[in-house]
Amino acid sequence: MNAAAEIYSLVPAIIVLLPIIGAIACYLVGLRWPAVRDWLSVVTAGATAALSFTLFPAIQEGAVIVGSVPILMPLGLTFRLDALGFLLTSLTAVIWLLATLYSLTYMKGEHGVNRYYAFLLVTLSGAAGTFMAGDLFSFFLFFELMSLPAAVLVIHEETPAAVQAALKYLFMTVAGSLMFFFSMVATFEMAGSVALGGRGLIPEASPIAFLTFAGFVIALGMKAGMVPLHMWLPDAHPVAPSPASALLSGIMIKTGAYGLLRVMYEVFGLEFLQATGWNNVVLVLSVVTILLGSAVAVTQYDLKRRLAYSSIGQMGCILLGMGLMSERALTGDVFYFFADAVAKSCLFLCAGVILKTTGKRDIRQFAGLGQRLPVTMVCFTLAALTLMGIPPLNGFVSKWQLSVGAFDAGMPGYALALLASSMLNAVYYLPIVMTAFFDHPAPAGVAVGAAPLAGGEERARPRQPEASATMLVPMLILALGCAVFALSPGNWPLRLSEAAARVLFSK
Amino acid sequence: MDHLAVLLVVIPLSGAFLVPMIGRQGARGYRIALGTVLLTAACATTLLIITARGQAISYFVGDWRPPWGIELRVDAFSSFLSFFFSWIYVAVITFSARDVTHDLNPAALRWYWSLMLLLLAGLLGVGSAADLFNLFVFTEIYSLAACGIISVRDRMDSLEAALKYLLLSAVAAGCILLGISLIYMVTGHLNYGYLATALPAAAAASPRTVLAAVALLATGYAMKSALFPLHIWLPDAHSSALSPASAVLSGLAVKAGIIALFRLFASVLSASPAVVRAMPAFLGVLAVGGMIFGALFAMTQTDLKRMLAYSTVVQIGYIYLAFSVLNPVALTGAILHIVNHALLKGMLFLSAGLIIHRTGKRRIADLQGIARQMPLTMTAFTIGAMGMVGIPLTNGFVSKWYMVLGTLEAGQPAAAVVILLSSLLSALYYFPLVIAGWFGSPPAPEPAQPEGPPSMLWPVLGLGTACLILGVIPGPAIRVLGAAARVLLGQ
Repeated sequence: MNAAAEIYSLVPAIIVLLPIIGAIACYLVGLRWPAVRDWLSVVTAGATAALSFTLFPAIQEGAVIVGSVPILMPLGLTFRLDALGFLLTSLTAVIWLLATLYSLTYMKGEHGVNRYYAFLLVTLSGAAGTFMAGDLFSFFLFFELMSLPAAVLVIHEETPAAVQAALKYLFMTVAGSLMFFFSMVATFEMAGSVALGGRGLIPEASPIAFLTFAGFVIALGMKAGMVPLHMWLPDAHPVAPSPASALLSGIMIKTGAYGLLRVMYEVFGLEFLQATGWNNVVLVLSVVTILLGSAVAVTQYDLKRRLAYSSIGQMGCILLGMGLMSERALTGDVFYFFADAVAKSCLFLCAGVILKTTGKRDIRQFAGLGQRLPVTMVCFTLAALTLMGIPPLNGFVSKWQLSVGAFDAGMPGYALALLASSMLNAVYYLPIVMTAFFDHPAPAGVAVGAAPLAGGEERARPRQPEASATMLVPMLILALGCAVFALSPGNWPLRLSEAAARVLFSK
Repeated sequence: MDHLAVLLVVIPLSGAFLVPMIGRQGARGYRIALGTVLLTAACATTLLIITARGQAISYFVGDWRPPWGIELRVDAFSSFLSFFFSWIYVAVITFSARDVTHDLNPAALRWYWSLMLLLLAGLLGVGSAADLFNLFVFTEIYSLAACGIISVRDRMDSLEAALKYLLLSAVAAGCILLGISLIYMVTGHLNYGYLATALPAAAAASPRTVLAAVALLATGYAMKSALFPLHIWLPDAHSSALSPASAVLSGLAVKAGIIALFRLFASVLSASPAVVRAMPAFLGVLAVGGMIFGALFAMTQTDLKRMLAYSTVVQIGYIYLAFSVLNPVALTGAILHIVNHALLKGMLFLSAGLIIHRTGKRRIADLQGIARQMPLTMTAFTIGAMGMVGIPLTNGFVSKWYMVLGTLEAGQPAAAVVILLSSLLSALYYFPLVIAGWFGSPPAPEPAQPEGPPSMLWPVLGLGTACLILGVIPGPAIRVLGAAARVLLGQ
């Protein structure tokens, strides 16, 4: 397993290029033939996903796929795809495909659909690129290629709230990217290289090295919704159209955590961090993130806002896993990326169906939804149970590994934080499920609970099919994804997570 | 081939004389101006090809050799800048054809063409002058031409701005001339080469005189290039001028002072310890002031062109700050940023001009939803804004990369932090405008009309494309500049 074979391939470059070409094509085609555009975007996302899976055999044998495009930018673009990168890239492409499929119905009749599909594909290119980047510079480029166009998805509704949220998002993104830029240049200055995949670039601890580390933590933690820097997230994620929220919360915030993982293990290195103890910065912040994110989620009654805060809580667990510095914790951590991405995008897609068919955002008005939208609510329940960490599901596998990892690392106290996370998840997810399935809808005209949120007026259209197939199928696939992998013996995401953790630790 | 060095200046200079003589009626003035500029650009392109590999062309006017004769010297540094300056000029002149005819009466129009060409001659001359006196002459040519271009509009605010500029420019010219005389007094030379040889002895003999001369030259050129706090003339001058003129003044003219300073302080006068010691402290601090205060002023502006003008003050700060660490990497970034800012700001002013030409709106608050009417212009504006902030894939990112890398290499992380902080501030005043332009709701739906005449749209788009090309494939430019920066620093 060590001394992994390197295979030179330009497939990663094509994976990045394909959605961009698709985006331009979609925009141009969409000016005349909207129906063709819709399916073209699905086909593009599907082709990207298929292309990423062609790399699976090589990855399974432990190979690392490298590629480079030297002409671009001051340092050239390089790609490096190992087990970790592959897991997240293929996951990204698949979830993008599902969200695009879901958008076909969801976005029908909305304004600016052309722009929406084009930017959806551009962000796919950026997100996939971040997971395949072979050096910090390429990472930065793709990070920006994802983050800035995502602002267009956030602002999609063009309401004053959306504009506000997008501006906030944009400023924090720019601030974060400048931080990253500084740290990247400082790394280049100290180490003479920004290549990822090694065992650490920074030669010695110094004030400027700590500044570099802090810059990375701030820049990437900001994207990941780490607590003092999360302010943009609860505003930006809920205002976007639901499939876009699913991608923002499911995948895009993971790029921040992923970047931090690479920075901690490959830019600074295991020994370096163990010697300096700087990983404690991440640990402490992650616990705060878990507790605060989850606690605030309990107080939110707007479904999408609650989900957004829940994302913050989950990201806390992910950050915790990488700070623990134990191999088992890291396995759980990488698997957590997978579990949360699947579950959280499923939840946002469910929220989209609820919003679209009933017009309800306020969870206090969800009584009777279980009868009205049975498939949606079952999917929702399954995903919520996953995030709570109920045994046979994905979330349990990752939380188990993380907790054991905390003991391995000799810091059992952090396992309590994970328990608290599970418990708080139950506190804010179960009531939604209970209300939906077991409460009877109040007679018309009587408000349930406290004053309902604005925009929650009833738009009931009784006895209709729940939603179109293009909306239901993606949700079902994701909901099944929450359960199937953890139950089946050939749990390849877990195998890949183990391989990824081993690679990061063997060095 | 050597004659190209002098033709670079002579062509626009003769064009400036031809226009008032034979370009009186109709579009003939425009055609002469465009032809002249194209010829100049071709000349600059050839020079760039010749000098890109690091060799320099020395031209002795009338074959009178230095120390008595006039020498013009074109190296990679000056030909790189001449190349971009003259091609930006092509875009601006093309743009002017439709824009300026609106605002100016025919009599003033031919002076406009003539002054624009005169300005170009001065700018290119500053880059290729190889002695202090000619440097001064070219400086005055471009300053006075700039003053004329501002006042050609014949409106109260333009005249006022022109007068303000004229007064400050005269003070600057006085400083420069005094500095030159002091240097001539102690060394007995004006030619760069002879001067550099004679300076160490002179500086040892009379250090105070040399220091005074250096300070006077720095002040003069800092004022010409609007370094904070000597920038006060700039916002008025650049916002009240005609839009294509603003593009040239803000994008190119302020850079001439920087070019002169780079040349003098990095190579010619660097033999004097006073220069080396005084430089970082003096210019670096002022640059930081410009970057922070310029950004704060820009944020409070309500007028689009004034905001762009204050943004120039900020960008000048970047260039000076990167220069002040005297490191080849940072200097590469600084020179590249001269060009990048010229392209970006030229494009921003031209797109602002197009918006004003088409809608008459110049208040930032009125630009809500402007992209619905003018998507291409707004795309260019967005590229410009992203370049100013330094987003990857735009040229602004590349120069920022080298500037930050250079400041860190020189052991000045604080300077790097200031550069990044100022980028964030740039985002604070550019992005709301972009967001409002694309996503704001226009006050009243306007009938669909073509976005603008092609002769105005194409220059904007051309500059935008240049920004992206330099951002995506910066390699060739960096190779030329890396060599130029080392030559400039004498390494």
